[in-house]
Amino acid sequence: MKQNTVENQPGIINFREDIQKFSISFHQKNTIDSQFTCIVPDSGMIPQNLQKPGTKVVFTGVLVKDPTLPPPRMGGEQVYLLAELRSIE
Amino acid sequence: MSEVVEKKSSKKLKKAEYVPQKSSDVKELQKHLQLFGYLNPEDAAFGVEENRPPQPEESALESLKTSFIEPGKMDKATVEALKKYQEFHGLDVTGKLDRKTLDELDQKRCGMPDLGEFSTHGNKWSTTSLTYGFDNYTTDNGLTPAKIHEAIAQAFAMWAAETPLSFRRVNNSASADIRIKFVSGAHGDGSAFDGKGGVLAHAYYPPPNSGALAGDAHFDGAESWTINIPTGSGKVDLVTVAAHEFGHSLGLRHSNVNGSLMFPTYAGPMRYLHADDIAGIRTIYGGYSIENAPWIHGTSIQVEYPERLERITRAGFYTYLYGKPNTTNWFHFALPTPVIKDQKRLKVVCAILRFRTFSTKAMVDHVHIYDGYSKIAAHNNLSLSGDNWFKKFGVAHKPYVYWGLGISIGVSFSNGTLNERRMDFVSAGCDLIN
Repeated sequence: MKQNTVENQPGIINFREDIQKFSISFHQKNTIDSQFTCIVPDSGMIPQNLQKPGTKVVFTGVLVKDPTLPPPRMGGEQVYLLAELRSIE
Repeated sequence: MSEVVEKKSSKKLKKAEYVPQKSSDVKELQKHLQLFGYLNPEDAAFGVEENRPPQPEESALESLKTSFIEPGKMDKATVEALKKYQEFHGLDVTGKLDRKTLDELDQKRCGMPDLGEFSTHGNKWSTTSLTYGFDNYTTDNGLTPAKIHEAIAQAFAMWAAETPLSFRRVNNSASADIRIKFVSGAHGDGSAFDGKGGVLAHAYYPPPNSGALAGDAHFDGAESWTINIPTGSGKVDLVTVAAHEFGHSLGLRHSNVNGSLMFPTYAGPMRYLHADDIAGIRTIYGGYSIENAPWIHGTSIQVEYPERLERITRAGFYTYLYGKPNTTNWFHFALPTPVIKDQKRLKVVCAILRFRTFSTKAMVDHVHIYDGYSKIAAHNNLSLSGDNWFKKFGVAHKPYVYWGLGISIGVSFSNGTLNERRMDFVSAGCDLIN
């Protein structure tokens, strides 16, 4: 599967009720609504003090395209699996 | 990271030595040029010339003779569009489908295998009569609910003018197909906004995607929303972003055509659809079947403030006028409207204007559409100048017509030479449906 690494990427914590998973989303600069939604497979990857929707974070990790993930819900959205979370604050 | 999108498939053009021999090849060429935005059938039909100089009456009349696109023929409009394509791509501007041009047309663009630039999500609404409602409003920059209603209707009208879709506002937003709200940060949909300057808004694709959220459009309350043009530093045009989001609500993804409304980047106000946007939305919903299309000549125009004109002349079937510097004015067309045909009352899709201005010193700022006394659509802050040979102004909710349609055009003339303050009104019309 294709992998992408993000380093020190600003993002926002969300909780997806439809799949009961946390996600970290970040905006593609200079666009109206292009964004990357990174599904967190295990909630334990996110420190408890950051597990609040709307929390701004900076994270480093590896993203992969996973066909088992739900499709994009919104225009401009790309959905990835956060396969590895190296750091988050 | 780039967005992977689906692309509309397109037939490869056959290699030809020079001018294509088969009309099928020319038709494919015409389709490609239209998709790329070089060939607009309506502009080509009514005769487009850039930087048209002022002309005495006789040659002005000559210039209004139509030229047409003849499908399958290398007519003048197609050759001119091909020349523009060749110039843009650094090819020899021959107007002929030579080998280098063919290679360029066949080449992958932006890494995409096909030539269609718009892309569709796959979902579509099962009905063409959609409703929308507001959960709340913003008060940014003097915006009121009434102004927001008008702005959002203007955004929907852009899509309504090109499809069978109609959009009607309802008071109870909970029952609406498309719910609109202004929110900041986390707002309960699992996709929080990120503050000023990031994501401006987002919209959900049509059902069955996302359950109750399908079609909904959310605008980041942290942005500074405006309907004024120019917007001013740090402010975002609500009409433009709304129209973009509604494109997603209707099933469009982003387009690779720079200059289209569905291009990902916000580049300032854009109050009209690009040919690529129209092609995209029509692949999902098709066009509409016109029941009647009445037109009236420009000589019928009524001037609200004649004292604000330096000169007005009626020439043949059109009117040309010169506004006094630093003035505004309104011009009105009353369209003889067949409100009933075959015992059925007709509905209005859009008004259409044919006009030109000779510089940005003469601008069309507003187009309002009336049924009798009732204003049924308002297109505001348009900043239109230059050649507009077939400009559509939609009516989002496509109402029945009762009393006859009127089109009011608000214009402004700034400081400039006499010729820069010239405006020609050729004709006005509308499309009516069953």
